[in-house]
Amino acid sequence: MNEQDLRNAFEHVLVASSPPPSMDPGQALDVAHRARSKRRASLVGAAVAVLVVGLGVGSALAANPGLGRDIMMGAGKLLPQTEWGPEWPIGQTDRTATNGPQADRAQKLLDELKGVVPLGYDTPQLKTRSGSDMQRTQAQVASDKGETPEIWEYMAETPMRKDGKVGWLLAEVSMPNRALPEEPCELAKTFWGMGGDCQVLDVKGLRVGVVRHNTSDRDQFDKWATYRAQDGTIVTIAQDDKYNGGDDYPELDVPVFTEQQLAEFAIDPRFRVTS
Amino acid sequence: MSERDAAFQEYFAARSDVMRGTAYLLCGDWHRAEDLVQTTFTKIYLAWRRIQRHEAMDAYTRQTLVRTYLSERRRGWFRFEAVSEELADSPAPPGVFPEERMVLLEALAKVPPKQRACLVLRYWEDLSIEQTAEILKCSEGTVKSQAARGLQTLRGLLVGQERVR
Repeated sequence: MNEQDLRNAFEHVLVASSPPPSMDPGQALDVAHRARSKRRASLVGAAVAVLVVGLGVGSALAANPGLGRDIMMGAGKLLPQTEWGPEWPIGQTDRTATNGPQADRAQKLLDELKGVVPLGYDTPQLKTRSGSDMQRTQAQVASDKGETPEIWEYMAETPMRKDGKVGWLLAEVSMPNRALPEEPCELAKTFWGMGGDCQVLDVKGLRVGVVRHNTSDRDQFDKWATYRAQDGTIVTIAQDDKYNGGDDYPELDVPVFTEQQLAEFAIDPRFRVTS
Repeated sequence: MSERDAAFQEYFAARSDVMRGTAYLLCGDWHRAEDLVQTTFTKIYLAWRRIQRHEAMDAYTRQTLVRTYLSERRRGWFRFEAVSEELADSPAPPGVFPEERMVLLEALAKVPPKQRACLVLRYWEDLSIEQTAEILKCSEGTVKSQAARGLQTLRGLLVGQERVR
């Protein structure tokens, strides 16, 4: 047997052995997805271990308690393990989750949001002129099936009422999204595609992008603060003297929160409902 | 479906049969060959973003396949596997006798794994000595000697088989 004989023999063996039907690419992808999920879980576990063991963060903690708390909050977070159907997560017909753990997180966000509204204001369920609820939540998966990292976004909004006048408060939280800019003001200007006069505020050593005047064509929200936490979670707190669509209610006389307060809410761990 | 997933599925659909053929020649078992291919493509999927030069994807996939095969051989998985002819569900083409392929498969199974990989890469994949050396992580001289020994071993085994028959 020479080299050419061996080539012929290989070919002969393959033909004669009657190869089974081709493998299914979809099934191969499913297996790959499971391997990726398993590896990701291992990596997260390892990262947590490293962070716990390596709490040489002590000096940072001492120098900046706010930053330290932020790092530790991030260390305990795990990405959601979503079971997907052919197109959307199981149980969903589109991007939004109307029940289950993701929807619960949006509801928690609303609870926290209502909790910061000061005395003298209430947060009732009202209707817009078109009949929609003014107090509502939404949890939606912003990434597509198989995309990594998986990105969920949570939104909660509520009217703030005083003396029959109604304003608008909203919180939006996104899981880490590398597509969004790092710089605080650039990040803040991505909120709902609006932009405006922005300033970076330093809150306990953390940098928060605060849009002070909405100069976009979209007349929704006067001010908002956006912060990217150490774990990558992005939190935006927005307010407006009037509720968009709530034309049956007069607008508030003054803004409820200052820019500084909005920025403080943005770094507040209680709004990071992704854990 | 993400762009990555779509590209992976497309690549799998285009190349898995070819890779499975190579895997079969390495391990002599279609089921095991499919396991090797699945393991290989899963590794490729996990490294998808790191593989910058997608035109070199085949070379990377082939390298992963062969190294996975050799790695599993080292771990001894194959000690518990026997080459069998009861693998394919479809009938063999006319004019081809199962005994003939079994003779070669049995002979190949007796060739040491690295020599066998060398033979498959050189004479089935038609890779150069340099390419084969890179995949097997050895010198070009080793490839030459392994290929020569493998061929010699195979020749001896096949002659022996013919004598027995």
